[in-house]
Amino acid sequence: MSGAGFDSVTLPPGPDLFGRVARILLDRHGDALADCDVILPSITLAPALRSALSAAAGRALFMPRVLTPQLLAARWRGDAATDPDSRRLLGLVAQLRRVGWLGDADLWAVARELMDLADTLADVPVPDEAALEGAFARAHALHDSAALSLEARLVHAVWLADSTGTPGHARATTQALYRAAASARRPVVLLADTLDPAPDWLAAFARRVPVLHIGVRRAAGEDALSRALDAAWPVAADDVRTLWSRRVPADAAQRLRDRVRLVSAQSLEQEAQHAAACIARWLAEGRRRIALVASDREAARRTRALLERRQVLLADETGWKLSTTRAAATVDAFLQCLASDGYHRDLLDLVRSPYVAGDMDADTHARAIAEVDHWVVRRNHVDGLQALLADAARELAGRAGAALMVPFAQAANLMPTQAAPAAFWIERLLAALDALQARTALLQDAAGAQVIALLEQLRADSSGVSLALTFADWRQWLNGEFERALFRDTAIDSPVVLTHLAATRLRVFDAVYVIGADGEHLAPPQLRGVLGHEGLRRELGLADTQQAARQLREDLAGLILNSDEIVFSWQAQRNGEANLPGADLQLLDLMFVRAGLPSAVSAAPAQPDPEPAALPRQTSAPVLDAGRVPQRLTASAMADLMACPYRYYARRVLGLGEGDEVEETMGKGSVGELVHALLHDFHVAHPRLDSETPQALAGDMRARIAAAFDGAIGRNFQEHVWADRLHDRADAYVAWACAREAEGWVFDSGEQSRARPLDLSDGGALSLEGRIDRIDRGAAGVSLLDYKLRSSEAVKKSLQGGEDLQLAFYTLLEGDTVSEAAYLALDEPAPVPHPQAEPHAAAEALQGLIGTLFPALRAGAALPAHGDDRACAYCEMRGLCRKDWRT
Amino acid sequence: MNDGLRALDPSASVVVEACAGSGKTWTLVSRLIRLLLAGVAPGEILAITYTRKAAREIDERLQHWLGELAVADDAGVIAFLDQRGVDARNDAALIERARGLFEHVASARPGLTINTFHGWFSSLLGAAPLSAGLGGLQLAERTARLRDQAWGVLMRRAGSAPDGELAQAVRWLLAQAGLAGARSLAESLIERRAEWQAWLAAHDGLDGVFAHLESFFGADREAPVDALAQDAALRAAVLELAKLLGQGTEAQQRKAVALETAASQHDAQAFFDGLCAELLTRAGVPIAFKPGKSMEKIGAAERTQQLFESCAERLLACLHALSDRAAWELNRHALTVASAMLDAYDQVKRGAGVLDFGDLEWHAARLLGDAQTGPFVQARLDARYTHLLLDEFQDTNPLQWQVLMHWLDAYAPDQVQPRVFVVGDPKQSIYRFRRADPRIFAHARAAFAERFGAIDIRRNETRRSSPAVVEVVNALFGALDVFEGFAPHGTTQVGLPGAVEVLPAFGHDVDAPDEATSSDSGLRNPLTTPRVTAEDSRRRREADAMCARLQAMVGRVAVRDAHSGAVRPARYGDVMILLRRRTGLAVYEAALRAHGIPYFGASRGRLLDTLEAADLQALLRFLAAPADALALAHVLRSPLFALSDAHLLRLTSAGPALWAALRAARGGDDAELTRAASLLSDWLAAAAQLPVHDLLDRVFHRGELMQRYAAQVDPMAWPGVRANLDAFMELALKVDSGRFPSMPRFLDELARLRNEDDEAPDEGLILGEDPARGRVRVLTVHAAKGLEAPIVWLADAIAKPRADSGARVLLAWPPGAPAPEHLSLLQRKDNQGQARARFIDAEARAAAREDANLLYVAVTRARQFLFASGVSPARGVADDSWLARLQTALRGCPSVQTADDGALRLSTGTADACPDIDTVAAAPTVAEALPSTPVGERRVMVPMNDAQIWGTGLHAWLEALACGEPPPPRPPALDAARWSELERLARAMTGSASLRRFFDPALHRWAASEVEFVLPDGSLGRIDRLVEFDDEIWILDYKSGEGVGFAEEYAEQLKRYAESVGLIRPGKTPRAALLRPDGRLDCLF
Ligand code: SF4
Repeated sequence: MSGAGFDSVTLPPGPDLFGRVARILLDRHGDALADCDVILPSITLAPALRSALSAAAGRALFMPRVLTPQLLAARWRGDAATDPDSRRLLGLVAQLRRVGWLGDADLWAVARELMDLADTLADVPVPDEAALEGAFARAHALHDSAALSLEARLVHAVWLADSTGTPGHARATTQALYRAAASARRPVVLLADTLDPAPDWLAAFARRVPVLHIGVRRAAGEDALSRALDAAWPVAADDVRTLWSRRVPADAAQRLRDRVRLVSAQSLEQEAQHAAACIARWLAEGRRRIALVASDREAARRTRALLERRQVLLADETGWKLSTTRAAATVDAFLQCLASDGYHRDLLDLVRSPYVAGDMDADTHARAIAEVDHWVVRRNHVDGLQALLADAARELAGRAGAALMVPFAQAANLMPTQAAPAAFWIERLLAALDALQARTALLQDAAGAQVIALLEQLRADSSGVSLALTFADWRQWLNGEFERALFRDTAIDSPVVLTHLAATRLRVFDAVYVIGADGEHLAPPQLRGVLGHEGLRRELGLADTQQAARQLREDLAGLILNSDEIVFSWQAQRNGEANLPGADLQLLDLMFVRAGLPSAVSAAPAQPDPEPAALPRQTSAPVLDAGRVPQRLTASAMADLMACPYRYYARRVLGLGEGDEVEETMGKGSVGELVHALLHDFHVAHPRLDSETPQALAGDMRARIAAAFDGAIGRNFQEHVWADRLHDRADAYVAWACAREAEGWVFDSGEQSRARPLDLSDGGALSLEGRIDRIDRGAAGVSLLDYKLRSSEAVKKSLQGGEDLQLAFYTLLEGDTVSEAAYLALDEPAPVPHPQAEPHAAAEALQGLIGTLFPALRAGAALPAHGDDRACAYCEMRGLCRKDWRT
Repeated sequence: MNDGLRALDPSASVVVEACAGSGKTWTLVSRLIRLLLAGVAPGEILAITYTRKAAREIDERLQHWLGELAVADDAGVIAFLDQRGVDARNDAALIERARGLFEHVASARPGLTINTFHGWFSSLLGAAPLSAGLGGLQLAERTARLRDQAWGVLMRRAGSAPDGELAQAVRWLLAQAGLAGARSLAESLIERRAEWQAWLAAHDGLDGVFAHLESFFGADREAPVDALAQDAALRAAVLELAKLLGQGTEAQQRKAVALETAASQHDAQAFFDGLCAELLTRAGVPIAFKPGKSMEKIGAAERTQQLFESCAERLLACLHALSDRAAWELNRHALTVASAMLDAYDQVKRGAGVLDFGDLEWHAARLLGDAQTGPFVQARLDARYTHLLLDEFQDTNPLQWQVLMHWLDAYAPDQVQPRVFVVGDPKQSIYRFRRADPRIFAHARAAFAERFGAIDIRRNETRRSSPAVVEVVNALFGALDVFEGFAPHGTTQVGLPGAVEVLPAFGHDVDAPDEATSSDSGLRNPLTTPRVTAEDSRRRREADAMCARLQAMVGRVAVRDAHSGAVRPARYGDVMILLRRRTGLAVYEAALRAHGIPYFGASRGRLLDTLEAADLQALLRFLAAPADALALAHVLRSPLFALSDAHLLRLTSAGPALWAALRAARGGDDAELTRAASLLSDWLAAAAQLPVHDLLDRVFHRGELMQRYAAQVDPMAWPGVRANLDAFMELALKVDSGRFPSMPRFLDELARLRNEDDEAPDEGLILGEDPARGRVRVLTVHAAKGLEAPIVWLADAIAKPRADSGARVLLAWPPGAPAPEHLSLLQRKDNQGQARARFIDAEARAAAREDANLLYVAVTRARQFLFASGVSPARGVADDSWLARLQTALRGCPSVQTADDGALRLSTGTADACPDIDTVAAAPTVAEALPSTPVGERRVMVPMNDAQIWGTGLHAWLEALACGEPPPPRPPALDAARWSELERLARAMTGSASLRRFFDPALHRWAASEVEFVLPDGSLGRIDRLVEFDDEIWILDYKSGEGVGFAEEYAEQLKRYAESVGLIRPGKTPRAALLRPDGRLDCLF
């Protein structure tokens, strides 16, 4: 073994890279290879190295120890303390709060930015504060900028805290590597997969042991392929020639063009379909080692689903934010319930989680959910957590829904109500998940297990931090942690990997599909904020965008050189906007053109139309068995029948109706009910108005209005809108009512249910049923009144056209004594009656019609879906009658 | 140099007013290239346009041209540059530079910026100093939810202090405007937040604004009726008038008495009412007063007239003052509520960590306007722009203009001053509803001329339209008052045949269908007779006529292809139908379908309203809540299951528990029911685990959804339905991959999206159209901006413009002024007031102008043929309608002809002869190769058991000690006590007398830990510790397990290891042993 020192070699990327590496290693170390440490950028490359080594040796041999910088650091971290990120963040926010420099900013976000920054600077020697301020000022060419020097000071403070206090993860890693270097005894070989210069810690190794740095750099002229690639993407960064003068012969370009395809799609679906078809074809051709590079994650996700349809599973190396998993959503749903004080939608979201009461069997679970749903609607529970829990405990006791609500109540009561340290919050959250009987179910699911593990980790990491957080604050912190944590499903073995561009470095594939290769996705990351300034980055010795762009290009070049076939696709338009392929790809294509070849861009094939299934023709004019023809009829059912027979069928025969929803603010319907009730009570209490003064009556009416609306107004101030209006109109109503009484109409009764059997010509019977708002008695008979909480104009409109049969229906119900039937429009300064012209004639006509319709139905008349636009506009049966599709 | 080329001169600042079709994008992109050629660094260029779409188009055009230049031969480059005013004939270096531009631009950092104002503002905010307090805030594109929350906050705030000012103002507003009205007034400032802030700043806050408005509306003066009552001159005049009239006719005498009575009233209101009754009509205008003969006779005619007028005028003034007071009352209350709403909204946004678009503008203005942060932002952005290019400048709003000016002001006088290039067309300003102010164009022209010596260029020559279209444009707008500044257009397309045809208005049907056949009872029998809608058939007739015409033209009329210039028969893809509004859209689309004409709908934002999307939502609703019988019935009727009503009747025979009935029917006699029950059960189980997108994918796949929909949908509608199904899938992918997904949240989100106008997802795009036919595009005029077509049909051309109405902000902000001149809230006519009449009039004028602009945009979309049609209104005449204006314009053209049906037609040029219809073969479809067997498998993940965890820990310790490394990191599964127990064990082992020789380097020749090697069969072996002595080589395997059969298990493996080691180190005797935690060494051989 030779002595300490630093050596470096450069090799070109390509399928033979590891063969070359192996030969170099064997040459240098021979049998002593087992004493070497080979540091690879990623452990996924280890198998390639091992097989290259044994192939190159041609015999059995002991392998070197294969590590990555992270693995090496982990071995040397020892028990040196590190400050976990979650904990650093809490500390930093506490500090920022104390100094209070940053106004309204979302401090969590700012603190995260500052921490990232400190991590970026972990390898960089940072000057003292004044020098850093100087660097900021120089780079920005700004003097005396208070804002700028504040930033410099902040950056410096954070960096200082990291470098002098307990180090964060990034710095701890660097420190461990230096520690390893300080006791290094084994030669080190480091294979680099980026353009970055050799890390500084490697030099520390070189002081004790021999170090070999193997850089991978594209060669310009090795073969036709790399020559063509060099013409498109010059290797030399300082190449000033234009593409025009870098022309290569057509045959060299053709070599490259044979392996690269550029495909433009018109939509996400088309792109994903193309990708899936392409990968399926590769598999059918017997290719293995296939990569789907997810430049556009949504398109990649769509592709994955399409491949799974074809029974192709993908090994996912990309991972998803933990926050995008159902498991994390359950935790959030619980917290959201608390945050929104038991808002009904949040509650229903939580109870629907498959993890909550996860040990229940599916049917019981479904029943319990349905019951809670129903109960919430029935109570019209909008929000108010404590009231909800109390009601639930009382009303659901012993019923299926209790299996959900009791655990929820227990869980909710576990949570602190005051500001508390993060660790305490997490502690309680975990206990709450137990109370919800969710933990076991979570642990059985890959993402769920990670959620629990993360929470436990956070509890440990944040223990001892005394910063008291409010619920909202803590939740923001927790959300951030869920955002940062990555969920990766590692349980799939597959020849097809779903991965990202950087993870493909140095890997060899049979075929690669890069999805989402447009200029937006295939671009160096946009840096923003404090360290987004290029000049400042250079000043601090950090990589700038220029370098990031070069790296991106090299990654693409490496990918092309390492795969037999590669497809880049993109959506030529997104959201109706033009979407160009990445600039490097355009350049590649221009190179082909320059070499005299046709462009390599092709359009993704149009998706063939599916083979239509053989389906029976669907009609929407049901015919009823006599037994299914309803034997009851109400005024509103009659209105349905008039508007559209199919709607009548769906609602009244099938019994379907939109499940009621919680009314968040009082709809006109509930206000109407309230008003009906209070008018009824008023008249019952004052059967004769002339015995009291109008003032006293109006006063009583106002008191009733106040009582009726009090609760609603307490819940939502906006309910004043009707309360105030009615309040202001109480006098006018009383005046109208007194005048009516003076005319001889005396209040008789209200809210009267009536039923009247009707014998039909075919011998069948039909019961007409309904409830009459108010009946007044006068000399000539009775008067039927129907309250309408609408304007007089609106009531008049509905009467036009002569198809409003409600009053006729009531007249028919009440019978011969009726001498007047009228609507009373109440949304007016004073009530306006709209009497039916000839009540008895109208009732007779109605009776005639009913007498025609029901025997016809029993005799097999169809109920066609022929509502007009007015009827269909808000009809919830549109999905059943399928009217939209009929021409 | 001609004007077109002068606009490209890199050394000049220019303001170009360019008419429709004159090649604005060509000019702008050509200028970009000229700048780059002249050596301007890409990072020094900022181009701003109005929409993202336009920005991407400019970028696309630029990259396309630069790409062409990169591979063009000398002649090509020279010609390209020559068209743009650069002579490169003998300049090899210049040619080479042109070829290098593509790479130059692609690799430039910072790069060339082509952005929208919003995009640019958002990068300004991204560059804000940390101390600006904007850190971490995200841009929220959806705000309706935030507004709801803010309203909730506001109501709570009011409720918590019911006697407070806010609560009273809220109640006043609720009483005055109802709930919806109150809310829209309360929210009115949100859209105008930046203007409102500027207005507040100009008046030092809300109190200042109130003080200003109070005096503006005269509310600080004496009550108008009181003032009137105390107006002695008026009383005198009234009395004099009464006295004179008293000598007149009987009627005049009666009036005289009434006037006298009124004048004697002491009560101010009675005085006022009395006078109003006599002098004004009920509508509040002076009565028609004539002194008449009687007054002439006594020589008082002139005097009475005079007296009457002055009294009426005085009364009117009082009425106006009253109305102004009402306006003040409204503003006092509404602004109180609206500004509180703004606070609440800010609070909600802060809580959510988001900004909205309004904030974006406001903060951008604030940041750049500040002497400290302005330069900071410029420096942070690293953008020293020397060239500003502003496209579609007529659509700029005052705030954007202000931000621009701040940006320009930040250039120090000693710095290189930027060059500006402004292009736009005030005639095409149609975005007033987005606060665009076309007056800024003229203002900028003057301001830039003064500041940068900008040249004023006006281009009135179109490269698009045929002479026929241009002739009509000139006739139409030359005479239009409101269209001031119009200069007649010319066209470069002199030989392009074209025609303009205006159809007579479609009126009432002559033979309307008879009243519905009624039953004996006189009532309609609903089973046999549908209700006859009041909706008349005029629009349907218009749509039918249009479709018939289009059908007759396609394949027969010749058009010139815009790209190739070739003459070919017209296709449906050449037709654009333009509508001013969406009303009636369904009728036109239905007619197109009925005529079998393929079309692209104008259904922006309507995806979730389509039946197919409703089907999928119903499915998801059912999967989220299986008890939802209606949702289930809906799904069962959708093509996914296509059940008949007989099926539904059967399933509901025992009551409405539909899902239970369906499950019970599974496996029964009915295959359809069985299929439905088993698929739905499967999906129900999957719904608990799968994300929505994956769930839907399973539905599409296993439910054979596409095939079944294809079977049921009308072929004409199928491409659209299919596109919508794809779009829904994409929506699921996007919405559901956000944070914390769940099905209920997804459904809530859809419900919300559906209700939010500008956020509602669009219908899917139809792809892969048949190239021989193409599709007619149906568009609103707004959406058609920037597009063109050989054939344009302007339908519904009698529709009235949508008037400004309802609660809104009245704003007057003269271009260039630092702050608004006026800002108040408008609600109804009766509290509009007189004081702000001039602002309201100015808005009305601007609206009228914009309406004319819209017509200009519509008409100038046409390349060759333009048609216009409309339906006559139900009431009144529409002589100001677009159709009427077009008719008038056409009548004024000398060569117009009138057809038998009354259509006016103007044509120019000789129609091209129509070649035969070109047929295009259908694209072949490729059969897909499928892998024959499943690929990939899911491993069962078995967590480590306790013994394994323990063993791994021991391994780690032994290895660390053997290699002289620090203690290994403790795995979370082991607590500290067990960990130190492991350490003790490991130390005992490595230090024990019997084992020391394996661990102390002094006692062996060579040792290595964790040695890997390749076995002869290619598999990988791994030895825990390998120790070489002089004659033997030991293979140690650390074992923590116990049990009898245990050692045997490893014996075989270790034997193979030993053989391999023997091969690698020939000459040494391989020995293998298991090392136990108690330090025991089990030698195997
Ligand atoms: S949508 Fe129209 S046609 Fe269909 S059921 Fe409802 S009312 Fe009848």
